Amino acid sequence: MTIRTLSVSGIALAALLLIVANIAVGRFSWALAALLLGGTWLALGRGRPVVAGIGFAGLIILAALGTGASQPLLWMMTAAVVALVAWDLDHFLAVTESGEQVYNRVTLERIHLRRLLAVAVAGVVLAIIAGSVDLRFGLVAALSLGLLSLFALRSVVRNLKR
Amino acid sequence: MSRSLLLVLLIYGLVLAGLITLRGELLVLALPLLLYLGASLVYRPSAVHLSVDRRLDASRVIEGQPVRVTLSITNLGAPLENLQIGEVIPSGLRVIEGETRVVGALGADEGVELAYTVAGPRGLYGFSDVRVSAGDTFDLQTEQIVERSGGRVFVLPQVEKLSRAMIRPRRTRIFAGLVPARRGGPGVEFFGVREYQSGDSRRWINQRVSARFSGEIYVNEFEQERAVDIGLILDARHSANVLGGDHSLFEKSVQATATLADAFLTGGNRVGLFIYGGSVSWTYPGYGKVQRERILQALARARIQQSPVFEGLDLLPARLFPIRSQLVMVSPLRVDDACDLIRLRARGYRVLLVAPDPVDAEVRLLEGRKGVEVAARIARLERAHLNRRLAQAGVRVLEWRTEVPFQVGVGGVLAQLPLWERGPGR
Repeated sequence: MTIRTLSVSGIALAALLLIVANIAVGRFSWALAALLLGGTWLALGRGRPVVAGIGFAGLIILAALGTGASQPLLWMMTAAVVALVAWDLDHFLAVTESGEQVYNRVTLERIHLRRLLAVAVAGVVLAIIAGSVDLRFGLVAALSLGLLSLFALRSVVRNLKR
Repeated sequence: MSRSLLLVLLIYGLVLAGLITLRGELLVLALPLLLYLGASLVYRPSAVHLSVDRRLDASRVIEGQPVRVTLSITNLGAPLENLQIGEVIPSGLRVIEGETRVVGALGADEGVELAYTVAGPRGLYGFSDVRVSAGDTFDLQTEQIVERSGGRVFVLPQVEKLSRAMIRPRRTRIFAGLVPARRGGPGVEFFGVREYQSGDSRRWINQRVSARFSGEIYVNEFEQERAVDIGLILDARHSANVLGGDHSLFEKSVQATATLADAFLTGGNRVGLFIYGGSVSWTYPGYGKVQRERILQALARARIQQSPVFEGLDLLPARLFPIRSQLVMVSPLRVDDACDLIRLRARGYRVLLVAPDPVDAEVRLLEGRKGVEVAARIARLERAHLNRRLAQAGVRVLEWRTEVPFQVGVGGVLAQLPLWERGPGR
């Protein structure tokens, strides 16, 4: 199976998971939104990072809204992970196609797919474990954690920029 | 928006939304994205240390000839999982074949090679930069580097071979050449008769003249042929070269100058080049192949220049050229330039003007438009008048219709001296 097939299948699957989940609970407008995002990404997003970014972000937001609307977490989690994989492969494909020559193509693809698979599996497993943990805290604790996450993410962004 | 920023925004949005709404599912949803970001941080490339070497199969080519460029990149540091290399092609050159961008994974001490062929118009092209982008596997964090590796190529103007270029300045040099020197001595052309001197060959004895004078023998004398000083002047003024619609005669002028330089240097003469139009570009006079190369390289760099100071030819530094030497000006010429050329002639220079015909070129550009024929007739009359004025002042004018090759259009006329320049006394 080629990277292109994987990427296209990933976009279609992520959109399909969200469409089915939303139709099942009768949220047709959200299902239509998922269909539009997936369709646009598939039709126009190839090689266009902005469209691909909008498609990816849109599907993640729909998955997040889905969790808020009491849809199965595992289902939404799978949709988000598949969208992430599709977004990554779409970019990887664009990068390799931009080069007139791809040196060590097999090694490049093997390393990339191995790492991506590890991240996807670990992400799902970690999410399942995290989903089974029940932590309760009040508003103050939540605000403190929010502040902490703000600093943590700021340091991540600074690290990325460096 | 970069991919990493989008990812960070999504993670932050999910975490913040989860904390505000006190819903753990949103936090859970952020975990795979966080892992993805974390993996890119873990696998980001360490210090990039590359060796770049660029090789060109020729440092000088004639216009239209291709140049093969080979770019070798070797990784001297740790393995790089995601490397993107892009060659920066100098503006003006076009890639005919081959690859200028490579993407791949490069192990330690491993190298990759890019080979491509370029061609371009006349000019000097310098290669310098190679853009390298090294990133993590997921391409979230990339380090942009510009590696430098020099290399330059001269694309020289095309040179046509002229069978002969006849000139006859008043001053010659002491070295043997092909230009008649107005002096008796060893040569080919008959120059005069003189009394026999000891050592003269018997074959030179002029029987008819000797028969007229009893007791005295006369021998034929030949005209010496020597090298001369030639100053080539290329007119690079915008106002003289550019026609309507940004079409230019300059390339033709450059081609003609290159051909003339080649012909004069082949004849053993000392040739210098001055490009007139803006900044001073002076190639000091010299002989032979090295000088030919210098002149061609100067012509390769020549560009049309626009300067209000050098609008006329009055600032032409004639003192650069030896007095009474031959000046060869290549210029489409403007009507008001005649006086300056006549002034040069008055100072004792032999002046030859090779003029790519601007009227003919413009007519071809405007072909089919209303009134062009009448306008062309008027312009040709004006041009003929200008040429006649110059000819009357002793300036030799060769008009070149640029649609025909220089050798065909001018070569034939240039191969023989005009009648008024022939003869030993002229």
